[in-house]
Amino acid sequence: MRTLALSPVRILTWSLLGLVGLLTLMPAYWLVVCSLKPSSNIVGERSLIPSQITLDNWVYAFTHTEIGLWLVNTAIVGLGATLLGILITSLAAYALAKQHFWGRDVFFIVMLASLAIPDYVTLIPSFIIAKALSLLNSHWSVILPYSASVLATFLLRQYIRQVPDEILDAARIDGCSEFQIYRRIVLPLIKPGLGAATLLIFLHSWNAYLYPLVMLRTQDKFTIPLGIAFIHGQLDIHHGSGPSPWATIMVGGVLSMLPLVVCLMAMQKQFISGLTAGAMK
Amino acid sequence: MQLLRSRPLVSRTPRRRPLKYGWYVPYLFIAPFLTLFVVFWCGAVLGSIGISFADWRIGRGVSFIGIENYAYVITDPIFHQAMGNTLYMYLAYIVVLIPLTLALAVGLNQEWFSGRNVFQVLYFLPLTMSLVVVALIFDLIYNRDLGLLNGLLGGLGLGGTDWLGDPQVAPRSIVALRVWRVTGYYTVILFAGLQAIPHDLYDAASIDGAAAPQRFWFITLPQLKPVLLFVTVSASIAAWELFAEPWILTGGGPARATLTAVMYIYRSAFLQFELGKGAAAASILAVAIIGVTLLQLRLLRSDE
Repeated sequence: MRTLALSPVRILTWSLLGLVGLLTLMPAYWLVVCSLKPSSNIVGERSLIPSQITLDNWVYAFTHTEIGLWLVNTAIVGLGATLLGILITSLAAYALAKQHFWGRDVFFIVMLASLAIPDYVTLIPSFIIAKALSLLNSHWSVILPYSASVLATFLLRQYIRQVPDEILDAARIDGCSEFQIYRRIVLPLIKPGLGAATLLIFLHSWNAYLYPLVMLRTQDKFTIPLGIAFIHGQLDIHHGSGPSPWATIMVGGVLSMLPLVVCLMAMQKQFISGLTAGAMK
Repeated sequence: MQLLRSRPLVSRTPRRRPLKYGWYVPYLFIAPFLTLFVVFWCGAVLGSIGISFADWRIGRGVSFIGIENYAYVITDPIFHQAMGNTLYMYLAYIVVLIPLTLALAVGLNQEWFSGRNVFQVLYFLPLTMSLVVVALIFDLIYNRDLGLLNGLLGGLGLGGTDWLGDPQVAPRSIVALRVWRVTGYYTVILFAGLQAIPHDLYDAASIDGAAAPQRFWFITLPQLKPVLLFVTVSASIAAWELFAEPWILTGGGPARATLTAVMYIYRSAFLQFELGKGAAAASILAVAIIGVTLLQLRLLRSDE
């Protein structure tokens, strides 16, 4: 109303946001393009539009490397942690939000404090615990720590708190058990929250690197991030035969990114609220 | 029998509701989570403190040695270098990230700006990529002779540089990668914070004759403070935990220029198999992070 449609400020804003958007897109674009180039062109051909497109890398990766197995492993870890995680965090969140019990506040504060403690502090003892429980080199050693997500519990607790007490009391008077209330009333009412928490746990476990790096010891247990980092680490001692290992790295990169991109596109609202959990309180 | 007890059907006086469930029921609900939380968090944190006082080498016995690990780590010049590098990269990261994301969020928040949804999704894209994938793709981009970046710079008539091989440049390249990955994420968080600021504040200020810069300084910034604080604190913690990207890209080199504190811990514990020294370094780093966090909370909160 006050300014023309194309004032300098607007042009500047649009170009800044657009430029950042472009820069944001570039590495993902490069990853996809490189996975589709002939493997000899991955390192070296630098034009933004590739001169040749082929599916050879994909065929090779699935027939001659362990990428398919790593994909299955990543799915086991990601889906395992997500399914187990959403179950145990929603149960705990219900108790924290709607039930009274001795020790609740202390537990809540300890959980809050744990958010300030970085992953690597627990890494060494977790390794020893996993070893003591004979979980080393088993996918459980990654699934279990990632499923107990404090952030997801907080997120779900926020959602459950908004469910009116009257509904729960009415159900209690009608003779519902606490588990029935949780299962039949609370869970259906907090579906958006469950979506956000699911994505939060899935993203962290699917993309995990530090814990798998320490816990998973043999190549047949590797996840994609671990596997492609491993191939990358072997680049210097790669001699000649077969296509460049970069081909497999690029295919693995696209594979590891794809499910999350689909989630982001399909459930952008939950995705964003899951990942920004904790910011808005 | 209880049903017959005379009681007003609707009681208006607040009264403690009798529990409709046994005292143990809530514990059943939290038990699965609590078990894992205690084992992998509480137990692990206490364990880490315990291990830091022990001479614990993988494959050998364990013995209590007091503060020897701490003494070793604190006087280890390599640890000094790792902490120094981490501090430098943390500062560079925050100094670039906060103004950049704030500017982008303000841009997104302009009334006339359309296509916010598209930008939000676009800006979230890097978060779908694992740190490993990000590091590997940047290895191709940063490569001195064959990388995309030097290629593009060459096309513009500019000279490239050895992004990961020059000890002066490598830490900044790592910071740039980090900033690239999270800029969109923090922009969206700040944008949500801006959206929550009541519009009347701006209207009132405009009537009083406040120009845009004044409105930004006296309304936007103070109102945004809690969100800014969250962004600063969580970005700082993440910066102090820097590991995967330099580990994959440079392994800490060249000349240990990108050796980080977490990398020191990882190397001590899992490459040199000295769990005690790694745990001691982890404790020192945790204290440093908590110190920095408290300092930030104080600095950003005190000047109300």
